[in-house]
Amino acid sequence: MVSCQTMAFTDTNLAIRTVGLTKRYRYIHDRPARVKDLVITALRRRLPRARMLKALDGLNLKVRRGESVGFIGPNGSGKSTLMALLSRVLRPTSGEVYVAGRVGVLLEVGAAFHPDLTGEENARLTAAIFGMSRSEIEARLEDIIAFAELEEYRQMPVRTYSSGMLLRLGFAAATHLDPDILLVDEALAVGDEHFQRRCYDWMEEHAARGQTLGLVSHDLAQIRRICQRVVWLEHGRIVQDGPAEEVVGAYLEAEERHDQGEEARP
Amino acid sequence: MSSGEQATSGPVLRPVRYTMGIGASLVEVAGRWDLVRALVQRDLAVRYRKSVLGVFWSLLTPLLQMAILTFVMKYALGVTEPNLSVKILAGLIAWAYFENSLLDCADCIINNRDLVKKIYFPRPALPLSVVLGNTIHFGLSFVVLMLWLLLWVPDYRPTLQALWVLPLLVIQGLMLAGAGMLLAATHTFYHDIKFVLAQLLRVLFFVTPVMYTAETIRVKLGAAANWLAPTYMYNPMATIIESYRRVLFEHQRPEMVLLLPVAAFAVVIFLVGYRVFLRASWSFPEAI
Repeated sequence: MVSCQTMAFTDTNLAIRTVGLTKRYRYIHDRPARVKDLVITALRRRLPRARMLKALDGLNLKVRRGESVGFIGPNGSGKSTLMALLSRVLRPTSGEVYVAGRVGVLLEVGAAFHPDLTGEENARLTAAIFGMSRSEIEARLEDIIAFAELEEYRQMPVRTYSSGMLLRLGFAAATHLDPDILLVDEALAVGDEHFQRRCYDWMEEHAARGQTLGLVSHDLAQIRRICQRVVWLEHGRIVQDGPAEEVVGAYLEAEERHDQGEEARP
Repeated sequence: MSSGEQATSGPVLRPVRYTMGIGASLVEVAGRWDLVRALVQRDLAVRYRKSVLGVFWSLLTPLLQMAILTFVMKYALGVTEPNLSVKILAGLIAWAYFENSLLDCADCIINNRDLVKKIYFPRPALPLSVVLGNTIHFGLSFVVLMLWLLLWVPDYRPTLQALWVLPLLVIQGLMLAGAGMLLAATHTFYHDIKFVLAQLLRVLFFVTPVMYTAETIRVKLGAAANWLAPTYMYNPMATIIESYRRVLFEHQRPEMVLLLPVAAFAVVIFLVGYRVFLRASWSFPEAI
């Protein structure tokens, strides 16, 4: 007799599994911001009770390996928090997360870049931060530069780069990590059409190789195009989870109803 | 778990570990050595790149300081100690290592805000790479010290006692890493820390034998030195700087009565600093 939990561990088809995943934030204004405030609150002997904001509320989620899942929902619904918890940037308040393999995150335009370093140096640094070893980096550096189409500019400091060039370099460095699970959080909102197409192509390839993709976006067309499955979140809970067309359709309908409701009010 | 279930190959579902102890964290950082290396490279490249003379400017600073301070000590205050300039230079580079490590550590999380908010990597890599970068800079400054020594004291010959510099460096580095992590963790939440630190360092500079030696105050204070001298050496930086001088210029091993407590202090503050940092690190993304 094997317990339920052990079964979950051995489920070889899953890439991501969360159990009762909950994340609460303390309202930022409730934390003493300076030592002065800290002393004052301590002297008053009355620390204000922390008000908590529930960003994720007992989320149970299973993602099969090779699945491309889109996450939609209004602002503050918990999409980005979920990504941050899956990638270990944040720690859950309660609940558990299980992942299979290396998790990669697609950063916003070169979050890791230092303006005074050259494109090549920044590519190396970003790759190291993503978890590539030095030999891996050296083996893939040429590919990264080529994918970013930055051959002539590789020795120039990135402060001289255009935002498009930065985006290409950041994307190239992130994608060459070759993660088992790739999480993308609206990184593609910028960039020209040519570049966006290459990103889609790459994500489709990534999925075709049997790797898992989690995509957060407000661009429903983008979600429909890449993801077979969509999870609709609101107030940190799953509203609907199913085939992309179905969920996106329901979401649009609900939004329309919501908008009409707003208009009807005087 | 039967073998029949393992139909498809590939990575297995594993629980994500969010919290870990110092040991596990050190293993993780060691496993990400290439990251630490890349961060050190970045810091040094940024530090030395912008100017034509690059690294020479930062090596010139202690030499200029030494010239001024030696002049003041010798002619204004009448300190008559042999090879004072060399001793002052040794004090200055050990002090610069101390001061720069702490100041850089204090805002290492804030300076890497975008990274910390967006992506996971072992957070201790940030303060540790700061201390490591400053250690490398100390090494370069040490070469300058040796050159100055050969120039100023042509008959100087180092003895085997000079090898004590390495354990001294380890003790100082450990202490700086611990204190640096403590500062990084607190400064990220309370930005007053760095102001306090800057003022504290200014005071410490004068009560530490940097621009003078412990011998100088022993001579200057006379009878008062009898009770003041031991208290004075409670300052770990006083012991460390005096030990550097002792092994290099007096060819004697460090005074163990003084050094062993400092070594113990270094280990304790490293463990405490590391622990506080690990605890605080989960709040960094929300605090910055």
